[in-house]
Amino acid sequence: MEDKIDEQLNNLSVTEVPIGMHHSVMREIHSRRLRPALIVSFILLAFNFLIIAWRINAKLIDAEFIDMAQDFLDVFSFNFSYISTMWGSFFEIISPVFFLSAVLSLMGAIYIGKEISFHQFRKI
Amino acid sequence: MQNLGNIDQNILIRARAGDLEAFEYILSFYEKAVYNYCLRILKNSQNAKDVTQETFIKVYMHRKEIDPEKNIKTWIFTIATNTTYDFLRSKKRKNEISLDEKNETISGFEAYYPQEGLVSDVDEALDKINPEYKKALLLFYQQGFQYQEIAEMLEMPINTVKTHIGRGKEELKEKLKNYLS
Repeated sequence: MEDKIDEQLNNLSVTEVPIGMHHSVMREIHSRRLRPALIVSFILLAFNFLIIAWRINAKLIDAEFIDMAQDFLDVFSFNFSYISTMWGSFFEIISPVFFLSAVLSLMGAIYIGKEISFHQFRKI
Repeated sequence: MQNLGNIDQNILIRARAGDLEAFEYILSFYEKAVYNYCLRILKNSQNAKDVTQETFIKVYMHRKEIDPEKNIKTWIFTIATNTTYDFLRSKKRKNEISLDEKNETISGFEAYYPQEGLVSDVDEALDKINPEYKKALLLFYQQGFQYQEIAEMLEMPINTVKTHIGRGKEELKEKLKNYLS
C-alpha cells in the first residue's frame, strides 16, 4: 500500500503552461524595465512643451499678437516665400535647441512605447 | 517526479546582471513546474497563471539575490510557495472567491487533469489533507526536492519536513483506502 501511494505521488499528472503566459511575463518585465526611462522621457517632453509654450507666450506678447495674427490672415496665401518667412519667424520665437530637444523627447517616448508593445522574443 | 536538472552558472550570472535573454531561459526552464505546483495548490487555472506570473516577476525584481553557486530552483520555489500562500490569504481576507470561480475550480481542475481513476482520486485526496502536509508532499514528489531543500524553502527543521511527508502519506492512505485495498 505504501508503494502504491509513492507510485501515485511520483506520477502526479503535469499540465502544459497556458498559452500566452510566457509572453505576458516577459512583457510585464520589459515594461517594468523601461518604465523609469519612459517616465523621464515623458517628463522631459512635458517640460519642453511648457518651456516652448512659455517662450511663445513671452515673444508673442512682445510682438503684439493681435497685429501678428491680422498680418497672418492678410497674407494667408500659400507661397514658398511666405512659408520661408514663417519658418524663419518660428525659430526666431522658439529656440532651435528647445525645438530639437522636444522632437528628440517625442521620438524617445515613441521608441520606448514601441519597444514595450512589440517585444521580440529571442531564444538563447 | 520532474527532474529538471540544473541551469548553467553562466546563465545565472547573466540573469543576475539583468540579461533578459538569460532570464527568459530560466523562465522557460521552470515555468511549467511552477505553474503545475501553483495549480495543485490553488486548483484554479487562472489563479495559478496569475501567481506563476507574479512569481517570475518577483524573481526578476530580486535577481540580484540569485546565487550562481546554489540551486536556483529552490529559490524560485520558495518565492512560488510564499506568493501562492499570500494569494490564498488575501483571497480569504477579501472573501473574493466568486461562484464562477468555485465552479471553475472544480471543472477546470478536472479538465486539466483528465486521467481517470486513481490519479484524479489522488488529486482529490491531496486536496483534503492538511495544507502543510500537501505542500511538503508536492515539493518532495511532484518537484523532486530533497528534504534539506524543502526544509530551507519552508523554513522548518528537516525532521519536521520528514514528519509532514510521513503524516501526509498517512492521511492520503486513509483517504484512498477504498481505492488501494
